[in-house]
Amino acid sequence: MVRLLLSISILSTFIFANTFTTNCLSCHHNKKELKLFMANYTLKYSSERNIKNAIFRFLNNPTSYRSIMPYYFIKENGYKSKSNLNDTDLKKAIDIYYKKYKINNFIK
Amino acid sequence: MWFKLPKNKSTQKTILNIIFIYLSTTILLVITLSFLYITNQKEQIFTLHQEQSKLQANYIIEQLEILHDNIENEIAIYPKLDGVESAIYDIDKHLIYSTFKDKIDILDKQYLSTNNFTYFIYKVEPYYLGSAYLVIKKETTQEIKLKSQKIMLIVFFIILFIIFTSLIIVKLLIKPLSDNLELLDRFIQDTTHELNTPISAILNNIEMLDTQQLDNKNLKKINRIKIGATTIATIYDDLSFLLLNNKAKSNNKEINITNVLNQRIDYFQIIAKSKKIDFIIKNSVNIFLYIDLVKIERLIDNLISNSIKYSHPNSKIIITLNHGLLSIEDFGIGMSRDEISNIFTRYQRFNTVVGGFGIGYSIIYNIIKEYNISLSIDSIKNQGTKVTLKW
Repeated sequence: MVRLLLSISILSTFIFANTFTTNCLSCHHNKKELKLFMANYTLKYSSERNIKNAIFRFLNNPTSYRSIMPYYFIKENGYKSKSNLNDTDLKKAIDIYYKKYKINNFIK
Repeated sequence: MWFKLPKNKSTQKTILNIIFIYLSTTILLVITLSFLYITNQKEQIFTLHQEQSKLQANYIIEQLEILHDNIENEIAIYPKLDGVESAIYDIDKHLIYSTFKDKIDILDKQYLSTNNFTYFIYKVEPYYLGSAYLVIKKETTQEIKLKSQKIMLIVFFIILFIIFTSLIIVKLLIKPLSDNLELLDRFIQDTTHELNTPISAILNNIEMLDTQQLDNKNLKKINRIKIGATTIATIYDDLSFLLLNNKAKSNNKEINITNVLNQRIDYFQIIAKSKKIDFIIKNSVNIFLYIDLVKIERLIDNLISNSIKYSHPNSKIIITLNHGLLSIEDFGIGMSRDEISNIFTRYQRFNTVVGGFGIGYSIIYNIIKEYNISLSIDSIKNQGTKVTLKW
């Protein structure tokens, strides 16, 4: 029973990791960049719930108003197009991203 | 003894009441003042902690900002100050990092107080490292405990001092009263000693007189002298009982109360006749009681003598003796409720017209108390009084 649960857990982590890896890391290779995004979201939204909601809203419907990047950065580089993932997969990917890069992980 | 209360019960009661009122009011005042002082000290400690924690919070927020700006670094070392415990919470009030283990509920307040600690809460914006609230923990108990102990010690000594001064004040206040009572007691004691011989001489000589040879006019005069001498003899007996017998050990034995009662009624006949008062006696035969003879005589004498004293002329006194009961009922001036409640006070008299020292009920009280005899008084003003003893 314990083995079965462990296997399911590892398998699910692998599947979710794939969602995040396939759909996010394909473009955002730089870990520091991902950490900075999280830092910016954290500075503006503070809590897990708010951060996840903000990322979800932006990726589903990216606008300059919803972006946490500076105005000149957006003006120069624009912002990414709408995510192709369905809501469930997108949320799973955000969950993995938050879990890996949340600020609490780095405070000692 | 340095401080001695007077023997008189009502004086004792008054003095104790004064001491109680004086002590309770001053102690209440001292306690109130110390309470206010401690409250003030608590507020001062709180203000001090608030100011300290504000400075510490500002420093920590500055450090959080620096940490956030350098977030690319592998780890962010949370700013820790010596002797300062703090924690940061996100906007949803979830803990991000804490240097203490207590679980607290962050409410939209400026501080949170528990028994031992105060938690000062500061809002942080922007949310460096996600922190929306910064909490600084301060221990308050120890400081307040120390101050309270100090105050309590001072209050204890103040109360001791107040008790000491109250005793001095009472001693000064009661001194004239005690002196007067002592003087009165000494006067009665001296007078009593001097009364014995002349009273005995008068009564004995009257008894020895050959009344056959006297005409009616002189017989009446001799009777009046006998009444007067008997009255003085009764007073003498009461006084010497109060001064001597009352303090002596009781010589208890089975006494035939019926006989004693009849003898005492005979003794008072001459005084009763002078007021044209008839005794109506309802006696059961031979009632016995385990008591001191002198004391039962004093008890009966005082009850009969009072009933004669306060009876209207041309009236009657009903005396009932039964198993465990003796009642004496007169039809005289009666007593009010206040008078009844004060009846056992020494030197209390309700009518200054009739003679006496007002010590009768004081004697009665001492005797019934010693033998656990209950006494009830039924009296109606201007109708009469019924005194009942039960044992």
